[in-house]
Amino acid sequence: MTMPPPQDSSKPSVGDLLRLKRMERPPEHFWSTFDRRLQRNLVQAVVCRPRWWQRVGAWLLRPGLGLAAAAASFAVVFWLSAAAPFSGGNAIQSAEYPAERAPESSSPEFPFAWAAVEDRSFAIEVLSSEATSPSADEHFQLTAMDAPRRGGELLTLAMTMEGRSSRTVHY
Amino acid sequence: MIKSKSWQAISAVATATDNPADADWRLVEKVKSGNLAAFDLLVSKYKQRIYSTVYNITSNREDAADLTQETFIKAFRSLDRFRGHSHFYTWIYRIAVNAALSAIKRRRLRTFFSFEAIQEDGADPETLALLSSGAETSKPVLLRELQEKLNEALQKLSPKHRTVVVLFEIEGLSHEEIAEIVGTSVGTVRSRLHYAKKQLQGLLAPYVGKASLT
Repeated sequence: MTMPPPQDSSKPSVGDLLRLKRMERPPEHFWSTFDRRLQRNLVQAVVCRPRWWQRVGAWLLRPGLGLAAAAASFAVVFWLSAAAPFSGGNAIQSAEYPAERAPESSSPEFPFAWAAVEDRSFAIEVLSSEATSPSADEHFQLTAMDAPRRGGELLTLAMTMEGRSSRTVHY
Repeated sequence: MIKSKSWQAISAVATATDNPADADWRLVEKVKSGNLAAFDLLVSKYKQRIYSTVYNITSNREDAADLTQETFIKAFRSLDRFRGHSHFYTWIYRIAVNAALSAIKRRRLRTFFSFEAIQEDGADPETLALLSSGAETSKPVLLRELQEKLNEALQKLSPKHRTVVVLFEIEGLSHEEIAEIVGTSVGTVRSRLHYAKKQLQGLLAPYVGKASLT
């Protein structure tokens, strides 16, 4: 059994010092003012009970709720933009897609490619596309979402609109 | 506050019983049945402790006065929903602690402190003797210095750790009561308390003895 370290009895403990805080008290006249004010506030609370819409308004205006609403709006906008990544146009678009499993008609000469994309998520960025023709080639850049952890991998590919629907990918 | 025969009668009923929790519950029931004087009695009973808690958490006496008012108004408005599953005082402490922590969050960017003066009358003479023993300066000067250093050290604790220290060391509540008030487990309360006191021990090293964490 180990002995506890000796207590330095000439000096107070943290607890003794903290008890000093009990001595910090407001002067007596503070309480008479406090009581009068509370009495007034209580009467006001009884007479002017806020209506339900005032309470809902107060709840909505709480600090932090605005930030949460902004974050939710951002998430909705992001989700909507992510829902239509191949909408055409030359503007660069980004979206995140889970890796698809290799289709049965996949080219046998690129087996490693599917092994690489299986069970991974990629950010797809539209580099260019022909908005005028739905069958025109589109060029995409695929960036593995876990690229920083795996030392970085970048795959660039061309994908046709028709090719996409038949799940054929050309590297 | 209301000082009338009815107030005295209610006060007598409330103090006749041995269990303070039962006395509080009796008063709560009276308030629920429309007796405002009973609420005055609850205010008289807890106002100093609620003020002290909020003041020590926020370190601002003006905020503490406002938040104590807010606490009692909230308690009054929510009394319908108080079913007596917990003690009245833990319930009202919880309202006060939540109000104080919310206020700290709100004024994170405009922090300023204001402290009450030390009232030597009514202080524990043993604590005073221990604090002033071996000091070269006069007692009032020493107490002011200690108060300043103590408040500085308390400000360096996170609000959650400070709350636990205030409730345990200053308000004298048990671990179980604190756990109920702050809504955590007793283990978390003990752990926060240990960490906070260790931090205070380091910050107040020149003023406190070694191995005084217990």
